[in-house]
Amino acid sequence: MQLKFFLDNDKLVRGLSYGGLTFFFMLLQITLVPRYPIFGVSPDLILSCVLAAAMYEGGKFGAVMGVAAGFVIDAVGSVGLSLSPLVYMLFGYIAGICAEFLFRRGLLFFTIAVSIGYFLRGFVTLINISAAWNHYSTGYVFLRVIFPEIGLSVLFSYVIYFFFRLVAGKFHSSFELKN
Amino acid sequence: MLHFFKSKFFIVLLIVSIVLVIVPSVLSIMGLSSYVRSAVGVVVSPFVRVFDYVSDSIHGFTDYFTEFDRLRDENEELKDRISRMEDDIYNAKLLEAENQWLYGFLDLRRTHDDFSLKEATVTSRQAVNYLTSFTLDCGSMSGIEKDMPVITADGIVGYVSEVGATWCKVSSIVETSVSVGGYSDRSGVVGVIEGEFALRDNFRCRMKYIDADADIKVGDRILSSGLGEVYPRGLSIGTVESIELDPASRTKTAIIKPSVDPDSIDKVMIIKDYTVYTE
Repeated sequence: MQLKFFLDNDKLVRGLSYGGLTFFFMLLQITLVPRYPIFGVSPDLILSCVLAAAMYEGGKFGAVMGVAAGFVIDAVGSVGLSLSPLVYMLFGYIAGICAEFLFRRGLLFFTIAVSIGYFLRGFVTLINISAAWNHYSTGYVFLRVIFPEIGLSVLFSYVIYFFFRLVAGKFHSSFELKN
Repeated sequence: MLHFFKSKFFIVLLIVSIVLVIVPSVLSIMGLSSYVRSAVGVVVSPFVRVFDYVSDSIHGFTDYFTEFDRLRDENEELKDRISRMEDDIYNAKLLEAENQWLYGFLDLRRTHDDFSLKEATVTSRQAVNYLTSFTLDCGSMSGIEKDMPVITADGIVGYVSEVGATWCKVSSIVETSVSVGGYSDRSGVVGVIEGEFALRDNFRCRMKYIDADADIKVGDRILSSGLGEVYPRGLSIGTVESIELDPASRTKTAIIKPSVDPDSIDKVMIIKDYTVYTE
């Protein structure tokens, strides 16, 4: 059974490590980060966590991280529609598979992954806005919300990359991390 | 590549995530809260509180720097406001003092409706150490004449000793040049109030020619008797501070503390005219 990795002790330690780090950033996301909006928006840190974990631990791990992180962040930091578990799961799974089989792990791949991830996530934001507001201008939403959010999130994702790289170094050799 | 999306793992996780999307969303649209979501909130909330506390501290610390300009401007504005308020308080105190003075003035007019009064302000005080006098801001152009009594609501201040066109000088009742007839408000005992240089330093004067067996006590209030042709009858001169007996002349002398200290007054009234009552 493919789900048996949950019971694997090593996987459990990795899960707790990455999960703990993601949980830390999630707490930052809902407490400290909203206090310092830049250009009127706050960056999303969670998708970067999911993508970083997926990059180092593979698609399955990324998918599970995505579901869990998406569900928790929607539970504690959002109202209304709850699309994050599905979106983050897909992003985590696809990014993990790409890192595992198609591309070299590293900052370049991570940059490409988070850029695409946050761009697609922008549409999720647009869906959430259309669900919550009756009247809005799409141009205004893109200009004042989605694009600044993408830019900031990509920028802050390097901080997250740094921390996940440190954690990944405990479980992988430097050769594994580069391939 | 597609086989990754056909794996049992992915399908199971996809179903789970779809459930996690649909159920909370539908419940939220219905205005209900998912139990699972609520449970997550309960578990996470202690951590959130801790982080929120830390965030508050960090935010407060960074506010010191980020809001420095705003706080500086606010500080300047508050300083201005305090300054304006202090001015208001100062003006209010002046108005209060003036109000009290006018009350006394009104009371005096009611008691002595025969008085023709002229209000005056003290503009300067004596420049020498041997006189107790001061200058007022009205003179002969205002109808002020020499020897007119100068009073406040508390009693006699002195008399006009010198008159200019727009000013006049007032000598205090403790000066030696004028004698004033006085009597005890309590017992009616009469005497003559005179200044004495030795008592002037303590701003006291003497009431002389009191019979040795006259009923006069320390604390008695002494009023003007109307004798002497300067001060009208019934104005307060002062209170008896001590009494001395002169065995040779068989008279008593009382040391009087004047009712009005010229150093503490800013406004006075000059009695331009009054009715002289004769028995």
